[in-house]
Amino acid sequence: MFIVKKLSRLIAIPNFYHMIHGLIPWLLIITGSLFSIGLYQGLVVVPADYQQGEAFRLIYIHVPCAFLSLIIYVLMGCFSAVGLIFRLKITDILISSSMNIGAWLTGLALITGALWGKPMWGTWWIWDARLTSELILLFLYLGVIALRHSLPNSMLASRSSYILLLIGLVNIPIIHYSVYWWNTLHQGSTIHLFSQSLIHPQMLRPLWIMIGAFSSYYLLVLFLNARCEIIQRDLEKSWIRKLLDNP
Amino acid sequence: MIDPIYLRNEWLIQSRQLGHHAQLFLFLLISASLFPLAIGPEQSILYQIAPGIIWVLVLLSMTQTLNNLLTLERDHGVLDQLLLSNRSLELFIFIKLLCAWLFNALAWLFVMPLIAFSFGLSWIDLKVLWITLLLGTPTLIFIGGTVRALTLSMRRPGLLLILLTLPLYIPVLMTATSAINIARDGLSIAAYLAWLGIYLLLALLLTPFTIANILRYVHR
Repeated sequence: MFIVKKLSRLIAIPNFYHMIHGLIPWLLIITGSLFSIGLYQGLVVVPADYQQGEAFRLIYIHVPCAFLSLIIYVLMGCFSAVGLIFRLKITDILISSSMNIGAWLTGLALITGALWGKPMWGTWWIWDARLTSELILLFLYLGVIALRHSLPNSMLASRSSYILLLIGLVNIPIIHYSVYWWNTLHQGSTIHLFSQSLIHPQMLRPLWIMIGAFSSYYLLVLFLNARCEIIQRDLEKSWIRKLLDNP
Repeated sequence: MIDPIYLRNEWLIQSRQLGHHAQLFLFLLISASLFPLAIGPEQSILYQIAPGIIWVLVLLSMTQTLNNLLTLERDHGVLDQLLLSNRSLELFIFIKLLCAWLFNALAWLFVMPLIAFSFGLSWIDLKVLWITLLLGTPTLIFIGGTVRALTLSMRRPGLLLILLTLPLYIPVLMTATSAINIARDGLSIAAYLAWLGIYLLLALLLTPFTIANILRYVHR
């Protein structure tokens, strides 16, 4: 109950602003250290794969990007649902701060996948279920970005993008289960949460570190963007004036 | 039950816009003819790609229909009156989309034989094409109507509409073209038609409510 009360205070924009303002330096440190540890472990320490050689190291970029592209969309979907039901302003800010990084990570997942696919599968691209549905996810992100840019910044733009995001949520299970439902070239999932993963633990640990690194990077970008957006939106309000006048 | 006023009004509106529907007919015919000119008259290639091309052109031609969908109502204040009245907005939207589909379907259904035979498709291909269009195009219009409602404040959403609707159209596109390709091998298309039916039912049932809510709460 205490946690719920604490969290519900954060819905107010000034409280949220102060929280993210305090967290950003920490996130910088966490992101930096996770990235350096993860990249060092993954690129230098972990031995080469017996089958794929050195090229398998793309896993340490490709998997976190793809994972995060899905998670960000699901988060945006949650924000949309909450924003539609409770009519909050904070969800609008969170969505407009996440959509760009989400689109970038989806694009990166596709590009690093193509770079990995060429040596492994012999082709840059194939129209199998997972790649195609990830491409559709990219289009959905770009659609939301386009919609928000073409409508003037208002309740209208935010509600329309909520609904568009919710309509696109149906794509996420398709991406995740595409490797089980269809005969795809893309491999099945290697990381299992509740059983033995299909990858050696020594190679798995840097992967988790990289997923953590990208996640904290996403949070960092989210908070930086949100901080900017809040100042832009509430520029005339007294709490911002007070903040900017006494730094 | 279905209010005869809505039906009559929509019928009149659509029947006075036969020019639009004729343009749709011509658009499909002309752009379909571009493909043999671009790819070459090799019949085997055209035969392979014809179902896909036809369906993609149908998808792209949706912009014209969707652009005009709620524009008149918004401009003439009919939407505001409906929002203020206690009449069923969902029913109005359903009848509107249904009539838009009925008249557009004329264009699609009559242009198909011309395109199909120019691409060398057989009678069976044409019949399957007709069935998939019959089941698929209402879904397209209803989903497109939702996205049009989202962008209602824009005069001519045009390309934005296409950008937003195409990812949502992809399941219908893939199911329909797979059905035609499967039918060529002589296999049963029942499963594909069932999936098209599922999309159709979901679209018909869910989108009027979604659009009504969008109009009520987004465009207050």
